[in-house]
Amino acid sequence: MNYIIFSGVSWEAYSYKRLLDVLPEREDIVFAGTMSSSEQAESGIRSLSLEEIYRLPVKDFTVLVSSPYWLQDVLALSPAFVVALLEHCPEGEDGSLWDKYSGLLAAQADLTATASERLYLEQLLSRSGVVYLSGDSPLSYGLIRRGERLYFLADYEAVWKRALEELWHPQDKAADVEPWAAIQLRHRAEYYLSMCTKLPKQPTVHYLAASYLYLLGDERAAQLLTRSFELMLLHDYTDCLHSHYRFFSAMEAKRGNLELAVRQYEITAFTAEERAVSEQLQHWLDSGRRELVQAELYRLNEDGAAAIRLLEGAADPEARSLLLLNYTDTFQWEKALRLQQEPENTAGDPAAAVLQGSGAAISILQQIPVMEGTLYLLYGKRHAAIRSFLRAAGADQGARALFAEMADLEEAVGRLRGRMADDEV
Amino acid sequence: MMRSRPLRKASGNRLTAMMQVRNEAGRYLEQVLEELSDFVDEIVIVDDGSTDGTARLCQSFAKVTKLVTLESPLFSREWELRQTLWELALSTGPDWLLSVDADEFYEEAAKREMRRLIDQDVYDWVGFRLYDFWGGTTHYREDEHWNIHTKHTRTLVRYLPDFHYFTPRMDHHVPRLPLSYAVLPGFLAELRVKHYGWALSPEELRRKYERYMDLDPEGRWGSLEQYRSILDEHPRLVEWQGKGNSY
Repeated sequence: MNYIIFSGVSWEAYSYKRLLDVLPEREDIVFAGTMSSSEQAESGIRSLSLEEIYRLPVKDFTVLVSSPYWLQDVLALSPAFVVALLEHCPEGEDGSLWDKYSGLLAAQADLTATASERLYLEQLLSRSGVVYLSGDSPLSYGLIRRGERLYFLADYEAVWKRALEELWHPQDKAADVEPWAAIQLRHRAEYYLSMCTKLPKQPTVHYLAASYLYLLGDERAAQLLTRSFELMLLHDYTDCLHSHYRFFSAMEAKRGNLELAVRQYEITAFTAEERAVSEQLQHWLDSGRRELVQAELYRLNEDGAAAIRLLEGAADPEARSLLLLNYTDTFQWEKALRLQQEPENTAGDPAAAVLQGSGAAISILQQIPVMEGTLYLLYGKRHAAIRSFLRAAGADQGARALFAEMADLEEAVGRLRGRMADDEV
Repeated sequence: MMRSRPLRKASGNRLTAMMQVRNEAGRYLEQVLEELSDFVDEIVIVDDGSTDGTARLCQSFAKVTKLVTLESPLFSREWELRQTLWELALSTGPDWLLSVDADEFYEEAAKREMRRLIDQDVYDWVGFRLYDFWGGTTHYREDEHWNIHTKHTRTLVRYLPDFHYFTPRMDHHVPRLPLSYAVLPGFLAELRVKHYGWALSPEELRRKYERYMDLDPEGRWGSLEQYRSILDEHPRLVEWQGKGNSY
């Protein structure tokens, strides 16, 4: 398999070298930037400039991208597969810009990986196909031989290898093999369950254990979350109503106890908007539209991934409007726009339906041209992007912020390319 | 079926007072029940093994709708006692609960405002200022160890079904209401409650001190310094001033 590496830093500072060592079926591996000849010989990786990369047969390559500011190039290249390596915002970069374009990168990627557990959990709640690039198991989970060298794989390295292999050779769904994502969730759950025994008074480890069990669909999740809630109270950490009760509500929704789940959400509903959502949930429940209730409770607990899985197969005409919201929240903006542009069916305009259905979603109408403009920008259609941003701004002065962000992105991309060019000097 | 009402009602709320008692005959209980009968809808009581006429006194009040008399006292297992009272209170299907001691008196302004405090849908609990009266019913104590009135004490709470009510399993000094309320929005009312639990003669104060030391000789559940301060010969006392309060 062939790979192109788009890094935010020089080869010397690149932190995923070991993961490159254990890439499956390594063939041609290219680093965008500069490497010395000894570095190239030692790693078995060649370095190329951006211009040279554009001349590669990229349809035969998987790209590994660890800076969101490569996204325009990645989209322009249109490789076989995109793997996003997500990181926290580095010092000196604008945090909100970094997070937004990291979200967009992850949404465009075929596989998302991160060494940050916080980002891993956030991504698990946004999409499928997420690998955690760290672990706590001392055992070896596999072995690969490359030339004279043997590589013993840690648990997450084995998952990483398998996830990449399955991009090219998808697992037969009928095969009785535990999916790699479930294996990794199980490892994390087992680790935190053991930590709960070692740290029985620590609310965070109980919360994390509950989180992984929830993602696995394990009934013990509620019990762990209850204990976490009690420990929060004993530690006088009282700012936990939303974090715990919306989670309880999503757990009950997953178990199909929708009446209880709606009541649990209502405990956390104080603002006019939250109360409107609560009434909407009750209305859907009363009219038997249980899929909508379940999906909305997932979304309210920030589990867009579960909501999308449910809504994509839902028969309810109003599911489209909720799907639009979830695509928007999880940066799946191309899907959001496609849904928005679909010919009207019985549900009518999904954005309008959202507007009628929930106060929480009113801003979706304003967001559509912003999403459109951002995507134009990422696909290199600058003038079209400006037109969309002007449309988004309407009569007020909102365009200034959108243009400022556009300039910030261009500057960040310029800095990244500048660093790469400096390396080449 | 459409559900008939929201979780938090802004009107028509029922208020249940909950109280644990033990050998209260001849003290303040009768007066407390009389006053409560004026502003609550229902009173539930757990009698922790009284050997005097406390139970009879409780039964003589029409608003005392539930009274449980424990054969053996749970005083040294306070968590169980609190839990028993909580479950009894919930059995009345309350909207709001007022946790009252057998020697606590809400000032007039507090009683007047009680309905307005519960008939709203914004806050789930109300805190009041409790004053520890000392040696009599004219002065309260205010010093390093006795200053509970400088903070608010949560005594009035909305009952939310399906919420997890957690009370730590301690033998003594268990919070009177579940800790879980701390995560819900509350209202700190500038309304006062007179606590006569220490409005005792020097001999009675000594006996109370000895009881505390017997139960908790190592200060595991409370502060030994505070226990010892019960015997202070010249505590700092402040005269109680009635006032037309607003909150």
